[in-house]
Amino acid sequence: MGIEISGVEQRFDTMDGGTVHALSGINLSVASGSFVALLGPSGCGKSTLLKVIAGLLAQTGGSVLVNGKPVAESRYDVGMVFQDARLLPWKTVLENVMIPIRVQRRKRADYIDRARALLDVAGIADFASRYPAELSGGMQQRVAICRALVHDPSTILMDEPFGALDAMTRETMNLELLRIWSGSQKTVVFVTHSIPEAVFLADRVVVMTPRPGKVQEIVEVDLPRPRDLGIMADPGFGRLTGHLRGLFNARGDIH
Amino acid sequence: MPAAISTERARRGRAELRRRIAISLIVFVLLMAAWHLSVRYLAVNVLIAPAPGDVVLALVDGLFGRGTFWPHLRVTMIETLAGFGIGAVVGAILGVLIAESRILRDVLYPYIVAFQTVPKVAIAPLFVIWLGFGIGSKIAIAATIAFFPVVVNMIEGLAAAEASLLEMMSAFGASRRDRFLLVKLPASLPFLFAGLDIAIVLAVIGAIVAEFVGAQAGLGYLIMQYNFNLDTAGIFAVLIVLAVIGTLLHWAVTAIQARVIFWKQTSSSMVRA
Ligand SMILES: Nc1ncnc2c1ncn2[C@@H]1O[C@H](COP(=O)(O)OP(=O)(O)OP(=O)(O)O)[C@@H](O)[C@H]1O
Ligand SMILES: [Mg+2]
Repeated sequence: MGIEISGVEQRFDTMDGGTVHALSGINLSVASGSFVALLGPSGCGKSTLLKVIAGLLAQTGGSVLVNGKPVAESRYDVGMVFQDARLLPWKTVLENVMIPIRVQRRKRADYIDRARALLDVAGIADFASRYPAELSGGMQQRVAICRALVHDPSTILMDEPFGALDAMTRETMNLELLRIWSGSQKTVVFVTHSIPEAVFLADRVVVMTPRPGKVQEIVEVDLPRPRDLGIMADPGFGRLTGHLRGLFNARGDIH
Repeated sequence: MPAAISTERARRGRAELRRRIAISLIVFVLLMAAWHLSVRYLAVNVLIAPAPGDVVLALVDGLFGRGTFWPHLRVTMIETLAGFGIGAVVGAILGVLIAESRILRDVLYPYIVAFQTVPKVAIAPLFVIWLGFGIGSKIAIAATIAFFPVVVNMIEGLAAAEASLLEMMSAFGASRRDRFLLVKLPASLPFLFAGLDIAIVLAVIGAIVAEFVGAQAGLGYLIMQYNFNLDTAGIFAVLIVLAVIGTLLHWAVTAIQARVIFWKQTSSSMVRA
């Protein structure tokens, strides 16, 4: 099933009375269980597209189906990770992870073990009863990822989830993310503006052009899985990143 | 919350309290000395400013000798706390309604803003006419004055909830009620307590002013009595009692605030870890 995006348009009214054409005729289908990276320069509409998929923004045109249904009906089957952790400061780490369970009126007892297991996988089990302010930025973001997974959604949307982290933590987090995802059969849409990150993680990299945001090219990543950091030395990895970089360079918005 | 943090915080809280009391006492002694010396050596008329010795005598007599202060203290405390309680509860509830309902905001808020510009002290005589010389009119005035900082801060606090957190809640399908209870309400608490802190002090002022206008008991009434008798030492003694009451109430609000809004302190207690 996965995600079906057809003809999505998004225009914003600006404060001076004009309009911004953020997304134009986006067609994209994300196969169930696949990992897709949305890659593009700043301001090209990646977050906007992700918010439309998540149903946080009503698109001005076109349609989005998640597992065959409008997102409003499949929302409980979606988990979202934002660029910042967005944890509730007044709730413990465990209670933050349990937020989807709570607001979706699921039975707490059925999920509490899963929540703890996720924290364990993320390496923060010891912090379950701490408060977010007592955690580092990287740990907070791991809590946010556990929160997106706790209700076992089939679809995960991630908006530059590691953008605020330093390069080393970021690599570690990417590895952990792949480890959690592998074998989970979950559909992932992962927004980034890092070319190596996109290639390292994804099955397919969707390259977007800026304003209005369009799909410029979809690049298949035919690198074997499971992947570790060593794959970055692979000639195939270099070829793909080189190709992607070429796309941006040709347009002038160099990264 | 984790035990280690709460005990550490309690210890810090006690140390902080001791430090504050010590500073307050030093300032007090210095003021008294300055006062005493100026009355003595600058030949100030005792009717204008009594010597601190006389004030201390009046204070000791009022509290422990004849104990004149106690029944009046009790009345003023009841008026203050009842007024504060009513003003705070009504203010908080109205704040929630105004913040959450467009219609109520359009209907009520203009009146509240308009009414807020009226000096509440000026309507004290009306309350006495309506509710009599008993504690009812005093509670009403204390409540009216305490109400405004609470309602205004409640509205502002609910509006201050981070949009990003609300968006996160929506992404997981949270209902409006859940967004309110889990995000907006906790986020508003620091504002609410800032309002309560102002309100408790204003409630004391409201009670005293109302007693000035017409009362049968209370510390404000007592001040008026001493005023008729030109007993400035007595007035000063009552003022000291009022200052102590105000300070204690302010501390009480601050202490409750520190317990309720624990997540704001977490970062400072982390420095040690
Ligand atoms: N609420 C809004 N109102 C008006 N314009 C908006 C709004 N949200 C986004 N835009 C505009 O839409 C365009 C795309 O924004 P978007 O946030 O999707 O970019 P992005 O690709 O996520 O960029 P970045 O990599 O910097 O996060 C931008 O030009 C932005 O100014
Ligand atoms: Mg973005």
